[in-house]
Amino acid sequence: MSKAAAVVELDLLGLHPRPPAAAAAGPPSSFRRNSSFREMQCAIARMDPAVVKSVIASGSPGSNAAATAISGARVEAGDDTATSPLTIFYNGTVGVFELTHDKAKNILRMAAEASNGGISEASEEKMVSGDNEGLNGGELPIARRKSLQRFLERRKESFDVSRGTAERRKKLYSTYFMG
Amino acid sequence: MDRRNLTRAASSLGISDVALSLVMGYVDDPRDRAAASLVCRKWCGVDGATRKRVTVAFCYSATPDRLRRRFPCLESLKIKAKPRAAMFDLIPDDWGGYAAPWIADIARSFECLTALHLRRMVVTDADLALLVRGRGPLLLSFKLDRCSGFSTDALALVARSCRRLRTFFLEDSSIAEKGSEWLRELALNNAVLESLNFYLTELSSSPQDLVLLARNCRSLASLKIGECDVSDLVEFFRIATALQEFCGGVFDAPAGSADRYKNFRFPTSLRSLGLIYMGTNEVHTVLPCAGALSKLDLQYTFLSTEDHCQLIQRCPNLEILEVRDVIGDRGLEVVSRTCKRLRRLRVERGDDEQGGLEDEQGRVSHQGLTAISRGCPELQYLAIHVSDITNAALESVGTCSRNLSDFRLVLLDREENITELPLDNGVRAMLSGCFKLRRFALYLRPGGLSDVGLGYIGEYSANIRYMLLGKVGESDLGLEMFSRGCPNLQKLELRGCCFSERALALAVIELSALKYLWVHGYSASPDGRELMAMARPFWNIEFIPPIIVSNAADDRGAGAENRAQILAYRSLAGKRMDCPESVIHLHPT
Repeated sequence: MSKAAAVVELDLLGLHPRPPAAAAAGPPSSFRRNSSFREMQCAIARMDPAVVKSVIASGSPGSNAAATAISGARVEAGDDTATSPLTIFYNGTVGVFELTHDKAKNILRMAAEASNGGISEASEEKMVSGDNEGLNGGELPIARRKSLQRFLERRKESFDVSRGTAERRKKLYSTYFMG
Repeated sequence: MDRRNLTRAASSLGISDVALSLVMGYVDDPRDRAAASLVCRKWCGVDGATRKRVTVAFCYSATPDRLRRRFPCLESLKIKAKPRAAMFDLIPDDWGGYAAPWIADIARSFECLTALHLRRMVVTDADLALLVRGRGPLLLSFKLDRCSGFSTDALALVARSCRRLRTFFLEDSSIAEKGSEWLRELALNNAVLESLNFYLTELSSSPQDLVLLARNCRSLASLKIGECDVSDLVEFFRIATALQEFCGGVFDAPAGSADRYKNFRFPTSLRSLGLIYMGTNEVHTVLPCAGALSKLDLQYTFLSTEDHCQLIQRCPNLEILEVRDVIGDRGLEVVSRTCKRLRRLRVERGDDEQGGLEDEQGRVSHQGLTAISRGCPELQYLAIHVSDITNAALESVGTCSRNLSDFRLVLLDREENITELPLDNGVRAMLSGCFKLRRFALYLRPGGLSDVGLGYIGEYSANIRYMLLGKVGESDLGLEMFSRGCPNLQKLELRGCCFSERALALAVIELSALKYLWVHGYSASPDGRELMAMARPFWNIEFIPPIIVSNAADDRGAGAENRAQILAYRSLAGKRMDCPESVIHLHPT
């Protein structure tokens, strides 16, 4: 699923002086240096989750849905299909991945959690509560009963097709039986 | 006297086994029975031999063999399998819950069994064939409740073999339609049917078969069907004179032929109605029997807020009402003024789109909730999806709704700003006032309930046995405070909370009455390692790992079902052998 938008570089480690990414790790010219994985883990873990969110948000020009979701508003699952590029600098190599907003967060969370062992309890708790809104609390949409979901979808479809035709009747039954 | 002597004295009181059996026979409540069975071996044996009804709350907590050895004379058995979340599409299809091992035992043994109820299980045609071969002629009540895996062929077989069936229940099951005329078979083979329910299934039914059923089953009091145009049921209603409950049927006339229903009226003998796709122009069909209705289901109708107000105004005898939140605060105020006998109220979540197909007044808030609590003092069950809430509304529930045994509140995502959060004080007041509460669900959002509030839930839930908590608390500390309370909590579901695995494990250890835990959306590790802190004998731990990184191209969509899940439960059956690949059995290994 590739987009026509230009590749956007996400400066997760704050190596390039670029607002609002204030969290810094190393001098601006050092994006070529061989950072160890552990250093990268520590850097990500030390980052303020809010900064990470805003960096991702600013790096996604075309996907308003993803940006809205990250800012903490309660968004339905339907918005998660938009993808944006995520660029990762590691050990002298660069990778660009087209990911949905959910996947990007998962990667960041995994990296942060993997480095949790080296962090004091206080910052770990901050990570947990900071995560709460963006990654855990805000992300999981309220589920709906299947029977009610079927009914609402069917109703929407029955109004999309023009009323008063046999076609509508047929469509109504076929979408219903799809379950 | 010391304790041992007391026990011996009680046992040798000279109560004969026969007398004891007779006395036990009058003890119905399963908790009383459980207590009696713990007195001594003899009483355990007598209880086991005389127990008539058992519910296996979770099918993997025991084996069929163990059930049979303990309760050989069961007359009524209910088995539940998949987690409740399966009703919300959150459980993988291949998760488990197969009825086969249970049915194999039931068909061989349990010679007194006349009632069987399977809920959220996978049942095949072969299973049903085996069952009716062994138990068919004796079955009086058979319920396949939200089950899947079978077809109309099996239904036809049941219809032919179980001629004494008085209750046949298939609601919300996934049944493959193979064109077998099961309904006709039922009508031809059964003369004693009182209740037939295939509501919310995809099964079709012809009006002719229903007329045949009405003719042959003169005791038919309750019929809940799938889609069948209501105007084709005139003959059926004329013949089914014992009918008191009807659900299903559709109003499906194309525009311009609204005349089809102009002269149609539901019979005045009906006490319970639930109608699919009924719109404003069809409400007149219900008015003649509205005054006598005790039960009304409007969840699948096309009615506006005003329609709800107009209709419910005419239903003073309602005891059970189920609606979507299109009813609005205004509709709930009508309910509070009119339905003084209301015992059960369910306000489901309608369409979320603003300016969508739902009425723009269709929002329920603290206003409606307050009105209901004040106007309907008999309320025992209240499940409500609100768009806005205040502490005062919950306080009102605690003050006025003293008969509540089941309260469920979901705060929807629609409004950015809620009038009053957190709900700590309101929740405390509600729980303190509703002392009969046994089941409780609270689904909020980050900031909805602080750690202190979560502690209140623990402190004030003396009698609560089941809880669903969603997006509550702020940190592990809240969970810790919660787990110090809840002395009777047996089943806990957590969703979208921020707790760590370790905190969850420690909470499980602390909650002494807990038999079942389901968690979805939390601070998960890739392998569930930290959960082992809750490992102990007779406690199973299952883990569905999160799907973390995958190519966007071959992903179905990063939906909620890809988040980690924990299912932990007390079990005498050991590790289950039918785990799919998506489920990792952490303990016992």
